[in-house]
Amino acid sequence: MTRNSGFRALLGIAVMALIGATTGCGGDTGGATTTGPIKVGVPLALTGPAATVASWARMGVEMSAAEINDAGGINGRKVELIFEDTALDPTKAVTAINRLINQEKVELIVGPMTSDESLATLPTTTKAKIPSINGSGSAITPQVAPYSFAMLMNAEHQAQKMVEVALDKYGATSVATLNYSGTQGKIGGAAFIKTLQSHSMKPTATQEFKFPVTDLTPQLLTLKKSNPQVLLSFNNTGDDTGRLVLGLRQLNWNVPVIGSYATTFATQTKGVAGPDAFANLKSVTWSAFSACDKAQIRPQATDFIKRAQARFDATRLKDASYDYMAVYRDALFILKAGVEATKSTDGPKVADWIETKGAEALKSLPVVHQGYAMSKTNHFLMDTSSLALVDAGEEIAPGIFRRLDCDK
Amino acid sequence: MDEAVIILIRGIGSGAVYTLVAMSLNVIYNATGVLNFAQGQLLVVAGVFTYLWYPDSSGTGSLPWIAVLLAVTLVVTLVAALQGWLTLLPMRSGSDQHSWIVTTIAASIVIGAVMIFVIGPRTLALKNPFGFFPLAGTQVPYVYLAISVLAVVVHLALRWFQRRYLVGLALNALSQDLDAARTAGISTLPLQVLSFAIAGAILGLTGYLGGHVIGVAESNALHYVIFGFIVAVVGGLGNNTGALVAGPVFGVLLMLVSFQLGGSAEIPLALAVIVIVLMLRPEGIFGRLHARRV
Repeated sequence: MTRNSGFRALLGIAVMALIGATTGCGGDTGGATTTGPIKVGVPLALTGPAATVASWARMGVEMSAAEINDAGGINGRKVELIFEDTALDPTKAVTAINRLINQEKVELIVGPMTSDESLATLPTTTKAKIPSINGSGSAITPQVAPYSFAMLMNAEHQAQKMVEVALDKYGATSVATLNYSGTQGKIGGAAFIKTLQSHSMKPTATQEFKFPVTDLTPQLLTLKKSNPQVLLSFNNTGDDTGRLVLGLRQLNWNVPVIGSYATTFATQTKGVAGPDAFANLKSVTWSAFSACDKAQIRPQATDFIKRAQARFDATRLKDASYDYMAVYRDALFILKAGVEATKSTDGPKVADWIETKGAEALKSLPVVHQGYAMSKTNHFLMDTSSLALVDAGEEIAPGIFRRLDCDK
Repeated sequence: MDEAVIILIRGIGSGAVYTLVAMSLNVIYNATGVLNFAQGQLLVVAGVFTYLWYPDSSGTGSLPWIAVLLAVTLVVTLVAALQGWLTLLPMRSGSDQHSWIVTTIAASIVIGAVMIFVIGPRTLALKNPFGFFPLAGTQVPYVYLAISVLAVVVHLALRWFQRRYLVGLALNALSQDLDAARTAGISTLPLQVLSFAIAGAILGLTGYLGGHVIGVAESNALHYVIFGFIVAVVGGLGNNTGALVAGPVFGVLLMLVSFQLGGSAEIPLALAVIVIVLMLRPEGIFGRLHARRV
């Protein structure tokens, strides 16, 4: 083969193909039918760095679809799930959403999993007026997402809670912050600073890391140099949490760490950093899966875990985070309630019902989580009352973390 | 000062991984003109087998470490050779085909799919087999030293092999002029498959020794092949000395930028430096300008 300039052009094409830089086509409004099965599009990052987490989301949606179908479906129509892989890539997520809407003619969507993917796909779902619940943890407002709601914890709420714990529980007067470079991580990082400012403080240092990460040493060296009393960390998965713990250990830095929700992925974290990974790490998570003792455990949570264990084999459930599964399970039930109440899959109608009647109606519906607070001004499903600070290294029952406010 | 030393040592170690990937790319490139985009997957495959067979890992294996080292290297060597043979087959009918772009990407996808099928999408955590050494009040995994030494050893071994052995000399001949080598009667296909096998062996050793500091997950393969490719290009495509220098420099640069300017600046600034290098020396730091037939 002759090595010439054309060769370089071909290399460019090949690298682009490897990166998967394929752009999605603009889509028209979907032409969903109103008879037969009700198709639900489920765009998840089934491959790529968040594939493990996606496998939990998939189980949650599969559980809800099976339970809904066993109970007669949605308005008498069976639920048919259509999964699409986004590979955690916003561009691929757009392609996946276009395919779901234009080819599969889905009427409801659960996903995608992250803020980046959700923000990229929302113009398409909004144009098609498809009601959806996405896995975003930031930037979802009624203006940005008129017919879509975010099921994850609001990154800003998490950050506020983490700062409060640092100041109140640890009595910290100096705090450093670390966040991953995705949209949710950046918003969490900005919320750290904003919340600290409201307490007339500013972080001693801030740092960021790109996900996936294998060595956090340079970031941690910067933070350590600023000598904070507490480190706040907004992570993406248990893998980067494990790398964080390893990095702290190798720097011989025993600073207390308060982590975002992803730091509760205990099996992943312990797999990287060992069984004592949570010795100095506390996490924010959903209160529905936390308790001080067995008597306090929310029955909906234990029932959900039992049903999951009965439905899926041990291989699929290995390392699974039940609270994350449950939020995807609840998402389809919320859409079901909206469709049945409005007798429609029209985005404006379903979204209006969820905004005005959803939170109240969910109190009598079989959802697992608590603290639902959707409104005309809030498109995050749950509010700060759904959050709790836990020791994710200590389960008082499978999938139920020990709360840190038990001693009070 | 302490921070600078820590970043230097860790940066050299992490950059050595990119050096080894770059050298494995170079070996194949020199013999075939092919850049094997499946190299990242093969590196992760080596990590997966190490996880499964290494006695102190979380897998089920119980073999002695030397047996695991040899077994992992052998398996990845064979997989790479097979992939090379399949890649080169369509290229036999002409000397200027680009089918390898499709076949190496396809191989990358297939290997990735098999890995997800076997181990799932998770990241495998490999234990640190060598322990730590103290440095400026911190602990640094010996893995970083081991992988740096491996890069130097591989470089010297390749140099020795290509100068002292007839087969090595023939591989060198392919790198200089593939068509002329064919005309001179050299049987190119076995030699080219051998180059894939050598590249596989390099990655097998790298995956075993560096498993603890490499994210052993299917999704990380792309990161390693792209960064290995960057190091190969900056060092001078086909030039192993260039890769040996460029890898650690790149590794240190990434860490230094993260430390001084924050993690958000790491990739953009590191890539900006690379663009500047290539603007000043398009053939790479150690690359040689080739005469082109017209």
